[in-house]
Amino acid sequence: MSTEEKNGGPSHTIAVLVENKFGVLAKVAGLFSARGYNIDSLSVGVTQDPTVSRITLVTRGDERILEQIRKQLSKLIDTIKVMDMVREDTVQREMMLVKVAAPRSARAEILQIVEVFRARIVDLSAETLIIEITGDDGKIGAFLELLAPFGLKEIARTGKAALSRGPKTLKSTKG
Amino acid sequence: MTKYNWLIKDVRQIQGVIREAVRVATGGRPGPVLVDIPKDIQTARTEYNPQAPVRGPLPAVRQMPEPDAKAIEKLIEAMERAERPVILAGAGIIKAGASAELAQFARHAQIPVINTLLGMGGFPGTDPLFLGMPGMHGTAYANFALCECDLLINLGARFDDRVTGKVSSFCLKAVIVHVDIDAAEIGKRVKTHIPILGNVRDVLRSLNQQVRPVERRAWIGQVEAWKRDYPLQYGWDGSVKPQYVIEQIQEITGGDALFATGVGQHQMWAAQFLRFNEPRAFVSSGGLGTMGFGLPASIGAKFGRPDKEVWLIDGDGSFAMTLVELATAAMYNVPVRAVILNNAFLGMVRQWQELFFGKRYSHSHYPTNPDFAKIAEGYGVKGFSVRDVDQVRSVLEQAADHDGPVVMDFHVNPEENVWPMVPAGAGNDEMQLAPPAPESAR
Ligand SMILES: Cc1cc2nc3c(=O)[nH]c(=O)nc-3n(C[C@H](O)[C@H](O)[C@H](O)COP(=O)(O)OP(=O)(O)OC[C@H]3O[C@@H](n4cnc5c(N)ncnc54)[C@H](O)[C@@H]3O)c2cc1C
Ligand SMILES: Cc1ncc(C[n+]2csc(CCOP(=O)(O)OP(=O)(O)O)c2C)c(N)n1
Ligand SMILES: [Mg+2]
Repeated sequence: MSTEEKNGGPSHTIAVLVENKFGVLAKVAGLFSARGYNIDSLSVGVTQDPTVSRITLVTRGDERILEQIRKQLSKLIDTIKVMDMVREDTVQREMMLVKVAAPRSARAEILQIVEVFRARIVDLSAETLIIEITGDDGKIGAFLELLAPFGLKEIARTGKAALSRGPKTLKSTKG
Repeated sequence: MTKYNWLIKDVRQIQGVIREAVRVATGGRPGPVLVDIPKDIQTARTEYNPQAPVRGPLPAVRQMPEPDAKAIEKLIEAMERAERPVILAGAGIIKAGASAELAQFARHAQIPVINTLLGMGGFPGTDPLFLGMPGMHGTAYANFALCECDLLINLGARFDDRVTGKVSSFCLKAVIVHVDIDAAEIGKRVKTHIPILGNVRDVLRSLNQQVRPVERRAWIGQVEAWKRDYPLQYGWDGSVKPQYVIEQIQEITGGDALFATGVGQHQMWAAQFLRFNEPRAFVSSGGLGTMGFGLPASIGAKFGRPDKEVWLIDGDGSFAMTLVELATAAMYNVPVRAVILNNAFLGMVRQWQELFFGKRYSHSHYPTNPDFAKIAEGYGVKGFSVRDVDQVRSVLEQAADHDGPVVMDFHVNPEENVWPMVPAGAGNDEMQLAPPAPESAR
């Protein structure tokens, strides 16, 4: 199943520049939980300006809810900028580690899938493999679908990172 | 709860943070902030630097841009087309200091004005254009006007659910205009046709320069007929009626006083039966429903405006929560006139239990309330206890003349209800004007 249309409408990626201070992430997360909005994934990291962090979050809802989310995020005192990351105009990637059951008999087939998806094997044991893969929603979803029949033991995903294509940037106009 | 908060870890941050705190609290949509100063910082030493740096202009509290002239133009066009316009004026008017601008606008354009609970005092309660409060315990004529209007101009009200009732039946015939300083409030609950982001005072000033005077005989006539035919009312049965006590306070003060309240039925009656004639004359807690707010708020109001008479209209339940503040009133001899409309019930809860829970009065009855007059005397504060309607006026007059704090414990009809009422979850068009007929009479 694609992540597009589970419950609560299509998914959207939003990038937020915030002050790089403790407590800011809690406020952003609190805003979502207080209003009952979904967060599908969230990733945070410092930017080229060490006083500014970038949060990339994936959420879900109709246009009215999305507008509220945008407005509520903009209203936080520590928010510097909010931007919709529209799929067509942005590059979006996520990294996933997946541990899959891999008895000797199944290895060849798994290795073939890994090859086709340009994923990497990063750990190997008698019964399992850990595979690292980077991609957009579609790629990661398809990869998981193909691995599922072998038995997915554990999955860890980083959450999405997204940048606009071309010279356009999400500038922080601080100070 | 706060708009923002700080934890100070280095004494040298204090000056900058305090300046920033004031800026955040007062900038954009105002709101409370908290600065946490730990014990070690409180006792540390530092140099005072009047030029201590403040963080740059924060995006969320930057000065508002000028309101969009095109949107204002749209509003003016809508006003020219409208036959039945109504203004819904909220707390934003008071926060913006825009009462004079609102009065000029409403009178010039001949548009009736409804005030939210927290907007009370933003428009003179005695003006013929005033329609009182909307929504759950609003006046019948305000709710009729909301249901029938073809243009609703919301000036600094956040379309709270107590105001709108069921959103899907709110102002169905109207073009909806929303002026607010907080973008997140516009379109949040009610679909808005003409959004205007900005300070409502700037918007009103711009409107006042452009609006042409008009006559609206038919609509104003209709509204006046509703006011005449469906006034606020209550029955007589020989008991002390809480609404009557408030009417007497209104007569004695002429509305020229500050009024604080607790939370509950008494608060609704105060909003319905008092006529506030200036902004900030009504000191009441809104959606947060802070019982116990009244007494401390009234003491604070008197310190803030020593030139004004200050009355507290409180419930027995609310008063009990913070009555220890009588010590403060006594210590500084603060002349607040505390009126307790004592129904020996958490009345607002009881009303819901009566109407929606088959009269199962669970944990709302307090027959063991203390003698509040005696408690007052215990603090060295003058106390009155009133059980007889005929004493109401004279006790209020004595209190008004007393040089110091007074507590008046009025034993009112215990099962009086607040009418009209829009039941929770219903639309304003489903307002009940008066008690439903008893089962047997149906
Ligand atoms: C028991 C009980 C019953 C109640 N019943 C009712 C009822 O029947 N009717 C009723 O009306 N209320 C009722 N209330 C109160 C209700 O819950 C809300 O608190 C109230 O309606 C909110 O009023 P408001 O939107 O004007 O104020 P606020 O909530 O303070 O909102 C003010 C709005 O103005 C905006 N603003 C601020 N400054 C500016 C500026 N400079 N320029 C432009 N905009 C600005 C803000 O962004 C905000 O959107 C009741 C409360 C209780 C506890
Ligand atoms: C601290 C707190 N507890 C509970 C409530 C819920 N509540 C709202 S009104 C009310 C009754 C208030 O009783 P009282 O002060 O006697 O006023 P009355 O309604 O009787 O006039 C209660 C319990 C609240 N708003 N605040
Ligand atoms: Mg009571």
